[in-house]
Amino acid sequence: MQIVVRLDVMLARRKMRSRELAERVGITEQNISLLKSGKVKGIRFETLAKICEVLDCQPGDLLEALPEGEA
Amino acid sequence: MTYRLPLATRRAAQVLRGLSFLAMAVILGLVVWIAVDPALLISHRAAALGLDMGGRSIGGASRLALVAGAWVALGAVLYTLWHMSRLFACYAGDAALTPSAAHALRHIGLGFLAQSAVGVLAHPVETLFLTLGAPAGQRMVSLAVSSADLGFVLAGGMMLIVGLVTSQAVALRAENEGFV
Repeated sequence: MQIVVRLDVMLARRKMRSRELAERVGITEQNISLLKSGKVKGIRFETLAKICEVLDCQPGDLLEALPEGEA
Repeated sequence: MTYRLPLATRRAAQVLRGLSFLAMAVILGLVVWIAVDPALLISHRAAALGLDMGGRSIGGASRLALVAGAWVALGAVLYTLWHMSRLFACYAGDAALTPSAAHALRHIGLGFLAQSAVGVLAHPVETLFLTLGAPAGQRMVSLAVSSADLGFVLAGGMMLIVGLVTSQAVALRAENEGFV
């Protein structure tokens, strides 16, 4: 299994730009970009909670477990 | 989160790096001086070992061996100083938790251990070559372990351990930086 980040989908639904999310969550836009592309080893609960709060969603809306090669 | 060394630490490291280079220059000067005038080295070592040369000169091969031994000892010191300057450069450049700093720490430890080994081995070799040309019954080989040698073993071991721990810290930092 692999974890796929669906942050771009949620950003599109909320019509929010990465820059605004970065500012409101308190992390860099570069880190948001890395998160969207899945090029991170993990996400801290603290960051996940802030993103969920700003986007008014649940962690399950942002993260999805898929079999290898189905991303 | 970004980790930065305090400015005072970085400046102190820069000063110590300069001192390391100065010490290396002095050692290189000693290397040349020994090659140019081995007689001074021989009289110095004889005095340090408490040997009475009684105006007796030593043979060419013994002289060469003593010079070579001194070069090896100075080489171990140079090796340690070189890695010290590398470590101070890392600290001055705010790169304390990097593979390069960990590598330098480990090699400083190895340098100290080498200096200890050279110190222990030099004693019998020097007494042997300094007394090789003496009349029968006055030749000797002595073995000695000084507190300085023990100190170098402890310091070397400690620096090796600190280097290994720093390597682990570098890996942890890389792991931590992979998290958002």
